[in-house]
Amino acid sequence: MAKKITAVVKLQINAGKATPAPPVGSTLGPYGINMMEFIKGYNEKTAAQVGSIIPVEITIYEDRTFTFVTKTPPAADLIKKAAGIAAGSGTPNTTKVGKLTSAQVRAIAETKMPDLNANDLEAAMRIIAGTARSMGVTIEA
Amino acid sequence: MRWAEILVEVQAESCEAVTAILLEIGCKGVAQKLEPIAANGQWPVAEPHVPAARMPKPHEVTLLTGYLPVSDELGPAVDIARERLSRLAEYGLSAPESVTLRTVEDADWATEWKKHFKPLRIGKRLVIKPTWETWESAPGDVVVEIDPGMAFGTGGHGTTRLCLLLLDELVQPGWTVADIGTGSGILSLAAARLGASKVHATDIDLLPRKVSRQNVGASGLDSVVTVHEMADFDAAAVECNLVVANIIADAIIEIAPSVLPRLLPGGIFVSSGIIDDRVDDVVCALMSTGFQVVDVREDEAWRAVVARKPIVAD
Repeated sequence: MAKKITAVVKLQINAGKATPAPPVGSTLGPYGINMMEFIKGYNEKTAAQVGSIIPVEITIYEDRTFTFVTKTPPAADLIKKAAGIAAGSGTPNTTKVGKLTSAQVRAIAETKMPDLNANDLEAAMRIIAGTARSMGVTIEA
Repeated sequence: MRWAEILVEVQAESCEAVTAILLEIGCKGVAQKLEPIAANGQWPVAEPHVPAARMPKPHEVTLLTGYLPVSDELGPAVDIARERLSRLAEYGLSAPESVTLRTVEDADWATEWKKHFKPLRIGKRLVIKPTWETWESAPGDVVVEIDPGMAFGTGGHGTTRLCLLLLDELVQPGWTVADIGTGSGILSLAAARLGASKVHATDIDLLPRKVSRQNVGASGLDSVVTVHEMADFDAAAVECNLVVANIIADAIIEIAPSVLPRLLPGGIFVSSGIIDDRVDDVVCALMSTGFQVVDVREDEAWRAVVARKPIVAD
């Protein structure tokens, strides 16, 4: 059944661990949708990925129903995984914690391409490389 | 609890880096409102799951919102975030156009949706009525009154709706029913209103046990519905005519062997909360446990499985 959309929001939250606390409650509550319904659905869908951030895009309709789709993991998670590090640097300008090859940057850019809305892969790679540097991860040629 | 919102206006090319910084300083998540695909900038009338939103282009400014609890650590955490955000240009990205901090009260959104929770008719007889609403019953109406609070179960969700419709079809006067993962207590209350003489309920979480007890008390059904602690439920919920579990696929698969001995021969197990791509796993688990699967009901992406304990064991 076709319905009028009120809003589409993207949340980056912990897989399998959504709660009514922000950002879920603060984002969905004002639209009058039952956040517990979303929480149950999201936690069920992402139960196997606990420990990761799994972005979710929620479409809210004017009858206060909603649908949601989960998205690709954040670039930071993909960068950490590729660089073999547990966390980014707290002082990335002075402390480097890992490195990526340009081939790894390209692979992450390809994975993230649908969510970056970049014009081409080069632009997506520039975003991924910048994100990596902001975490203290250097890029090798 | 009070929360601080950190609002970051930034070109979309920096979204991934900004999100990483906000999560690293302890934000519990990051929210972003998306824009319509339509050229006129209006949200369309659309079929569910048809993409209608787009991610902003790399140089479009978008708003990211992170949330931190208000505490003594808030100020230092925000200082770290501001310092790191200001350096994004050094890494080939755009620094934020603005970073704003404001506090919000938790209670605002916790109850906001209640304003829109109205009496709901499920099938021909059942009416789910929030405690704060009024309802003029028609002859034959079976009214279940609940205040779900923060517990799951308002009747509006497909999984709960499936269970309610099945309870309406199946429950006979005088039956003993068990409700595993009771949430708001909605299914226990419905079973009692439909004529069950005894309902044993439990939930793995403390909050739903508390909420469901309040709903049972408010409905005057204390003599019929007992919300047990998990340990007590095992001994109490035996010789049941029907067990209902509105939880998730993995949990249903896990509890199935313990449900079978709770049932009388011919007793029914209604399992729900199953997303469509897991229903085969649940059906297989139930059959291998010794159940006869007699029906699978659908409501959008959700499935409920009706299984029966054989009258004579194979």
